[in-house]
Amino acid sequence: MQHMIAIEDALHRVWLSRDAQGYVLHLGAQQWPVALDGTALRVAGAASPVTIAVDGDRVYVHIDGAAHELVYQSPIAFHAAEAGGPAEDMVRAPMPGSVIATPVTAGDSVAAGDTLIVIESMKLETAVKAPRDGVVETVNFAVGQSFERDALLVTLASQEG
Amino acid sequence: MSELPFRSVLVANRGEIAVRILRTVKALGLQGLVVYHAADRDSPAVRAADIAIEITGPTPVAAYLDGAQIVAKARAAGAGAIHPGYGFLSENAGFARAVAEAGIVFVGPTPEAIELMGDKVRARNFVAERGFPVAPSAIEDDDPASFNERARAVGAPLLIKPSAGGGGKGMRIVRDLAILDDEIVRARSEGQRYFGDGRLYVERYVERPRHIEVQVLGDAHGNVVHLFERECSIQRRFQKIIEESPSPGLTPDERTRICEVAAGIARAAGYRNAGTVEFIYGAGEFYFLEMNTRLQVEHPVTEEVTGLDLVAEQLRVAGGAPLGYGQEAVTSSGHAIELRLYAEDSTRDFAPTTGPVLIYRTPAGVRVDSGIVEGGRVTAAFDPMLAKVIVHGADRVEAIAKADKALADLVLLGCRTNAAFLRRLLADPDFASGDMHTGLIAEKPALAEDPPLDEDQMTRLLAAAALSLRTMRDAADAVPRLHAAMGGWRN
Repeated sequence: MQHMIAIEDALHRVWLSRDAQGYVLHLGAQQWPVALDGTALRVAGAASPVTIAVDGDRVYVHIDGAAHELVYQSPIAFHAAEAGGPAEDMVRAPMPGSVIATPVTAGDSVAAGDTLIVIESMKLETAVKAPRDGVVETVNFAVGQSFERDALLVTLASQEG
Repeated sequence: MSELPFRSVLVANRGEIAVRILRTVKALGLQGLVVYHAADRDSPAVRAADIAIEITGPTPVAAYLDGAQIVAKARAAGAGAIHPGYGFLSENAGFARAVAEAGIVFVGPTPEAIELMGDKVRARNFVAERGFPVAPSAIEDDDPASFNERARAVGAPLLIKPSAGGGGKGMRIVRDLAILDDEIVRARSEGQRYFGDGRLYVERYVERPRHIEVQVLGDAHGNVVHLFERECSIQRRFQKIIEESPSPGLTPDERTRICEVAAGIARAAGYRNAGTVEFIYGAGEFYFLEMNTRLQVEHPVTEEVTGLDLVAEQLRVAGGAPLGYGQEAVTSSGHAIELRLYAEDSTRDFAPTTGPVLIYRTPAGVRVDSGIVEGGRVTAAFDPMLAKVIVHGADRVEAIAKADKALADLVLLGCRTNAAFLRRLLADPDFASGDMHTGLIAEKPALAEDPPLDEDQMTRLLAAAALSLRTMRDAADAVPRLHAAMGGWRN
C-alpha cells in the first residue's frame, strides 16, 4: 500500500514492507532495509542517532543536528484537498497572532478586497481581505483575542444555487 | 546576604526571565513568588516559585501589564520586593512608584530615572547637554511647525522614531528625502497606535551600523561601574538575536572610551541598579542611542565574562547596600555568546510558529535559560522567544564552535524554531570574521532559506517517519511476507 508523506511542501510516495530481516522502505524504484531501535535509525546498515516525536499525523525528527516536520497524508484528506472545497468561504489566519480590529459583523455585505479583519502578529499588522463579494456569516474572533495559524477567522455565507 | 531588608521577592514577569530571577532569589535563601496568568499555569516559572499567585485580565498580556492588580496581590502575599524582569512593567515609572508606595522594594532604578530615559527626546537632550556623543537629529517637540524642514536638514539617510518608542516598533529608515513627508505620516500613526503618542524625532542613520551597548550598575550611594560592552548587531527587524561580549569590532581604545562614556551617563543621571546604555557605532564613531532602565534579555553574556550574578547585584543594591567594589575590580575574561531561540519560521519571513512541546532536551554543560517545558505548548499569546542558549569560550572562535554544537544538540520537537537559521548565521563568513552590522540578515536573504535536503537525508527522514507511524507499520505487518516480497512488483 502506498502512503503519502509531506516534507515541507514536497509530497513523497512511500511504502513499508517486511521481509525476513525486518522492514523495507520503498521509495520510487528504490528499496532500503530500515530499522529503528530507540534512538538509532538504520538505513541500509548505516546508523544515525535520531530523536522522534509523533503527534497524530505529524512526525517530528531531530537528525544531524536539526529538527524536521513530516506530515502523513491520510488518503481521504489527500483526495479531498485535490478535489477542492469551499475554501473561498473560509478566511483563515496566515500566521498566529491577535485581532486588533473587526470592521465587519455578521450580515454585512462585502466586496472582494474589502478588509474583513485586522490582525497583528508581533510587529506586523495585516489587513485580511475578502476573497470575493459576499455576505459575512460569522466573525469568529473579537478584538484582543489570539489565534493560531490557519484558524478560521471569518466565514462568508456560501453562494450555493 | 543577611543585610537585605526583605525576605521574599515577587517576580512580576513570566517565561525564561521569571525562572532566571527565581533561581538567584532561591540561591540567596529568599522566598520566591511569581504572578501568573492561567495560560501559564503549567509554566516552568510557576513550578520554580515557592508561591505562585494567579492574576487575571482580558488577555494574558493585559494581566501582566496590570500594575495595580500585581501590587495588590504582592501586598496581600507579604512580598518584600518586586522584580519586574524585562518588558511588561519593567520600565513603567508609575508602577515603580506604586510599588514603593505600597511599602515594597522595587528592584530597579528610581521612577525619575525611568521617566528620564523612557522619553527618548529628554534622554537624548540630557546626554547631549552633558557633552556625551549623540547623532545629528531633529526633534518634533522643539518646533512642530518646522519639523519636516528640520528633518530634511539632518540629511539622508535618516531614521524616524517615535519619541515614546522602543524595541524597534514604528521606526523607519528614509534614504530618499522625496518620501520623507509620507514616511513621517506613517511613523506618526504607528507611534500613536503602539504607544498612544504620535510625537517623533529623526536622527542621522549610520549605514552598516553596529549596535554596541554597555552594562552599568549603580548603587544608592553614588557609585557606578560599567560591566563592559555587548555587541548585538545581529538583528532582524531591530530585534536582537545573537549577542556577544566582548565586541569583535572595537579597538581596545574604543572599548575603553565607550565603556567610560556609558558609566559617565549613568553617573550623571544618578543611576541606581542595573541599566544598559545603547550606542550606535560606525566608522570609528559612536553615538548614544538610548538607555534601558532594566535587566536586559542578553544580560547572561555579561555574567559569563565577568563572573557576576546580575540579579544578585540588583537585589543587593535595591536593598540599599553599596556596590562594595570599584571599576578596577570588574574584569572580563574569555568570550561569551547568547543565541535567542525563537518560535518562528525563517523561510516564511520569520512568521511566528506555534505547537506542542513534545520533546525538549537541552545540551549538557551549557547554560540554557528556558521559558518552555516538555509537555507545554507554544502559543501566539506571548513573545515568541522560547529560550536563550549561552556559551563561554576562551576566545571567540571557541565560543562560536561551542554555540554551534549546543544548537545542534538542543532538541525541541513539535514547534518549529530558528535553530537551523542561527547555525547558518554562526557559519556565515562575515559573522565568523566579526565583520557585522545590523543589516547583515536583511543583506543575506539566502541565510533565511533552508538548503534543500539531499537524497540521503530525505531517505532517512522518510524511514524515520515510516517506522514511527502506526498506520504504516500496521500495513506492513498485515501483509504476509511472501506477498510483501512481491509487493513492489505488483503495485
